[in-house]
Amino acid sequence: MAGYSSALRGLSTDSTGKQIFVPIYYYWCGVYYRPSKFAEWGVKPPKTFEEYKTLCKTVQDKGVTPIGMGLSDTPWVASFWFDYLNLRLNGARFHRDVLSGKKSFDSPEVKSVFNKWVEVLPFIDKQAKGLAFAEAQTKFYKGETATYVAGNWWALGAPKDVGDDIDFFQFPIIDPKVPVAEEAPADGFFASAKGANPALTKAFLRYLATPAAQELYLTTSGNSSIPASPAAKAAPTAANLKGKAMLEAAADLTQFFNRDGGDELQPTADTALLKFMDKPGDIDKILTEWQAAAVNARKA
Amino acid sequence: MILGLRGRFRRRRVDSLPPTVAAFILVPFLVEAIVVFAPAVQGVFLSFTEWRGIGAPNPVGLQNFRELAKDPVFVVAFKNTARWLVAFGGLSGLLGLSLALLLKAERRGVAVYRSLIFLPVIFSLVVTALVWRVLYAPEGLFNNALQAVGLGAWGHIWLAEPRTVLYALVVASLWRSSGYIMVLYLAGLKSIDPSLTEAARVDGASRSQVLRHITMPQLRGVNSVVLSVIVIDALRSFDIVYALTKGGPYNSSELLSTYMFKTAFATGRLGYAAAIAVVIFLLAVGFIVIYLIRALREDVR
Repeated sequence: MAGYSSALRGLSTDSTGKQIFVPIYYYWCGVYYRPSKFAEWGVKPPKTFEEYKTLCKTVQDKGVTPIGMGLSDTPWVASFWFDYLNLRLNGARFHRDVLSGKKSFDSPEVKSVFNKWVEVLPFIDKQAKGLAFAEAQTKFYKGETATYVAGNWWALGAPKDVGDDIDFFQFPIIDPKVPVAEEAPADGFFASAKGANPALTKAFLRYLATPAAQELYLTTSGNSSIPASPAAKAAPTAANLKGKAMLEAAADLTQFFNRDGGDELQPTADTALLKFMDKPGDIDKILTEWQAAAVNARKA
Repeated sequence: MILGLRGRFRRRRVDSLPPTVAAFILVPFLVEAIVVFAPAVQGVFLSFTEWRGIGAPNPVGLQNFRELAKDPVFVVAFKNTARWLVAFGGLSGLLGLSLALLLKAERRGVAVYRSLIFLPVIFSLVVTALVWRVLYAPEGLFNNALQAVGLGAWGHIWLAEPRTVLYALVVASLWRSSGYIMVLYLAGLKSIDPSLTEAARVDGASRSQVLRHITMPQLRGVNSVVLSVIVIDALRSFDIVYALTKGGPYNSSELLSTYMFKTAFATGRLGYAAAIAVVIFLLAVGFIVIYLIRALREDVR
């Protein structure tokens, strides 16, 4: 894995310093939109959170739902918002600390995340909780929702004519003093050390780390992600180059809520975030409950 | 009646069981013991342990049950199960009986109605759930229909609002279960000797008097079957809830059964999940035993 970025090397190394994981690609996340629709509504991709709110107001006045979300079968989508607001307000280090249990969910920092979130709640699709992932996707493709926070897979399922008309912008900056961090989930391979044929397994893992293997995987699967090996050439689409540049410019990278915090923590986030979107006034109680649920979940 | 039966069947005393009969009793009993009783007993044993599915279970005494009493999600699930039992159980009994009384008489075309009402029973519950999901969607049939008659303000995101979700699920389950209960009651009504009702009518009894004093007492046997079916169905209701909401949003439609499943297979706490299963089991047995005791006492009288 010589030449791999330090972020990926860190991700692949366990607490004892041993390398245990072969990443084959990683991808970017951002706020997705349709350029042709933005032109129609006379708005431009925002840089700051204030600009984003103005944009939301503008499109809402034109009868368009500013922020799309589909939570009925995929409530974890809401965690994109928690992750990004926390990264933008409190930084990646704090974000990791709160997910790993070193900091608490009922801390003032976490509360500031929700105080910020409240500012955009009126712009989120009122139907969000009743929509399945695919239904929310369809609304976005049809231009009924203006923006959608997601990973690069968001654009992949679109019909050809819509797919060419999907772009993304970096999640808006809230506090310029906080070093910019991005979500960049990596996928790859683990292998059991107790397998029947460790030598062959290692040979296969070595192959997976080569540029050739990763290029082969990404081109045949039609996946727009960025290969983990810096020597591999991904299909250099505009989106791919833009995503790569955005991640390379970032001061820090995180994976995603459940990848950084553990799968057992995800249901506690789903409960807390959906409850908050329903009853933003109860935020103190919700955060206390979330912290208690997180402590319990980590015990299991 | 009982004496008469005894007299007729007292031909010879059975001193020893013939081997074929013994085999017919023993083999099913052994199979039942291995595949049903043993796992059930093991489940009770697991409820007193902490177990993640790997390694040996760690005995913890009553700790799981103490934790249950303080677990807010369990309390919600328990209350929801009680609501479910009353709403789903009560309404499917009521609807089933009403439909059966309505469709009891052999008229032209009545078989078509009976079949149509029974039809939902043959669909897989997961398929049923998918159809109801479309009806309950934010821009689904119900909301659009309300909109069309000018009652758009009454629309809800039925499956995502804590206040509506449980009842939306009850309605979807009723659609299926009332047909099933109707068939049970139809069979019961058929077994009532028509001369009883006719005699009552000749004596000048009104329809409601016939129902109250002739039909209902005759249905007592069916009632106990229906009650067992309803209680068991209500407590094991899982598929439609899991397929439609997975207990959400934020546990507001959680039932004991869905919470048990999540605890066991999503969170991986098998001991704690077994404790929930024991609670479900006690509830089911409790209801049925209480009813049977009452029913038997009435019989003796």
